[in-house]
Amino acid sequence: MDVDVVELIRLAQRGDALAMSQLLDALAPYVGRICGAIALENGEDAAQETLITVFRQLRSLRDPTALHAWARTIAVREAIRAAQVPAAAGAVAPANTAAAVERGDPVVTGDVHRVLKRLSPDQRAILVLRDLHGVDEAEAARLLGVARGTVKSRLHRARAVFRREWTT
Amino acid sequence: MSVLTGVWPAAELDPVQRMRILVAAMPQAAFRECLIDAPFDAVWRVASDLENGTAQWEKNVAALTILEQEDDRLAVEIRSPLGFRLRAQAILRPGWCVMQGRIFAVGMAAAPEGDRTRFAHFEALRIPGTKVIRPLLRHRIHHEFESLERLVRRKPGSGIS
Repeated sequence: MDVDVVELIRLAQRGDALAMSQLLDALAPYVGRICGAIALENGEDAAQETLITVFRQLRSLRDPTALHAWARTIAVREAIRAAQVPAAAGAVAPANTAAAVERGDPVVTGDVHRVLKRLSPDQRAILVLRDLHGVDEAEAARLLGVARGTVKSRLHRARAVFRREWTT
Repeated sequence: MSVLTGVWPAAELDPVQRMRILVAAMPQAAFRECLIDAPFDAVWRVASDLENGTAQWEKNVAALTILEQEDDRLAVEIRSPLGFRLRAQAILRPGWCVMQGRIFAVGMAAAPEGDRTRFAHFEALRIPGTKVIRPLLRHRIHHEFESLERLVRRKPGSGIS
């Protein structure tokens, strides 16, 4: 992790509001990408709840280099929970402004959001963790509270649905 | 090989949502939100005018001078109503301002909500034990909101008839 971010966390833990503001700048896009992809229309609520939890408990974080992994754990949990709540009237789909996922071949453009809606929140979560963030199978199982075999089968089904929907 | 391609949706938080997060880490902060019946541009034009506007609605400030400015970072000097001079650093950008001195921190955020503007403000003393005065600060913020809204309404081009 960037030395500056570690220093920001240290300052924020001591109650420095300017450091908190900068830390929020650094962390919000990361959390927003996880929550937007899993919770879709409820992504804003999930991202806000995640970051409120992170900031409220910031002083208890002993290892600053663990910030992103810690935030990711909370974000996945909040996003799955938020995805199971009907979207509020007037809720809008997250903006398609996240960094493009350049992995995979061939590069296909299209409406990822439409395809993601065809997946369950659990399937979206496994895709986000394994394929978007490169989380290994054991860590994904820990984050989702399921067995490694479940991660494997769920990912297989999620990729199959994604591939099928993408081409229709 | 990943099947994932294309641009993925991402949740983006507006400045007011971000300020709720910031104050979650500041248990001593007094925080309030209000809805101002004016467009965002009209509200932020007044709120972000630190040298000419802040003293007219922020009760802790008799005068504010910008000493240095580089991009969104500012160094300012504040004269309190009791005559004390306090130096502070600030981050100022559209819809967002956080200012901090040795003994205090304040912040304001604004975001459009339909034709109106959601405005958020926090005040905190960076002194242990000052959480007890939070209700007083919250009461004062309520009156500061009223002053700010009056200023917005008086400003030409506020979008309010």
